[in-house]
Amino acid sequence: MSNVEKHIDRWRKGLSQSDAFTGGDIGELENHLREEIAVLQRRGLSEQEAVLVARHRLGDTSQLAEEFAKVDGGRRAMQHLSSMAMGVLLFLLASYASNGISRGGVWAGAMFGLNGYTLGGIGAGLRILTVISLLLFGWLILRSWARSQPVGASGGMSVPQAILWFLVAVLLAGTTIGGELLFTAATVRSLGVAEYGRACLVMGYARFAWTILTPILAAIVFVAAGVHVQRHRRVCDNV
Amino acid sequence: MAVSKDLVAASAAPMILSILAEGDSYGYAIIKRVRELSDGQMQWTDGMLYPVLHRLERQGQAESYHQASETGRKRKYYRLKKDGSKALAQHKEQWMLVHTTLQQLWEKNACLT
Repeated sequence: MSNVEKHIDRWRKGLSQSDAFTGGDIGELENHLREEIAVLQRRGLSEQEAVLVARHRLGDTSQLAEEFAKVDGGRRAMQHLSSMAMGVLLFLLASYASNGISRGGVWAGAMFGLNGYTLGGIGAGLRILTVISLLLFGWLILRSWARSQPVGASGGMSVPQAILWFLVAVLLAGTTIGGELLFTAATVRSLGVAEYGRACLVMGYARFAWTILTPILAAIVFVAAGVHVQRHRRVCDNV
Repeated sequence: MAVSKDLVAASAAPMILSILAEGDSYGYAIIKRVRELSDGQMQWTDGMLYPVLHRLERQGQAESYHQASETGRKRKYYRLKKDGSKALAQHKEQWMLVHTTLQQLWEKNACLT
């Protein structure tokens, strides 16, 4: 790859980081950049000079992104909306699944003859662990899915794709909720109601603590992400 | 003499429409034409042309189509639509009004000095 190609490649990657540009926008700007570079080179500028002048004339990426976003604000809003919907779906699925898995753990513990308090601890711990790891796992899957989309794709999905996701979600939710019920029934049968009540008590306390802690954790993550993005943006602007 | 940013922004749409009225064109050629006509005095940030073109397209004043360029790359051409011609006529009226008003004022002032 020549230097010009490498430079254009890096520049194109910079643009595709922003959701303001569609694949078509980037192609159009790239054509412009290439044409300008060719003209400047014909006028006797070196490869590097031509690239620098052409890029300068085209304008800096963040400024362009701002202008492009103004024209097509609707598409951006849809993109945000669809990622929000994905987030909500992911959260629901992760919490159903973690309920199912934690009840499974409690049932297995009961089979080993553990007492109600220990089982409650196991249930609560499993629930928190699985919800965190499922969220992380789901997020990784969603991210790799988003990255596999062509540059600047609309960000939404086609109807068959949406139906497929919906069916998968319903199936997962159904299985985990069903599993939770079956495991709970089996546990109650083997432990007896009183011992199971103790397990529920511990899980209830843990749930209470978790309910208070999660928003705090979420707030910390939001603030950290905000600081990170701002720092990243400053670095990009300086390049 | 550099033209102020506000004036550049305000004149972008009428200028693009006027160039498209001469015939179909694409981004780079439009910028080149503006540079030639203004003797390089109208300095646009090249990339800013495209959002304006896209807005015109969305508003139904222009339409686009793809055609291969000499280098074989796909190039996006823009064509003026009926609404674009109408909008251009309005732009012309407005700009002429501003122009004649200012001209009269400046001629009067020229007499005073």
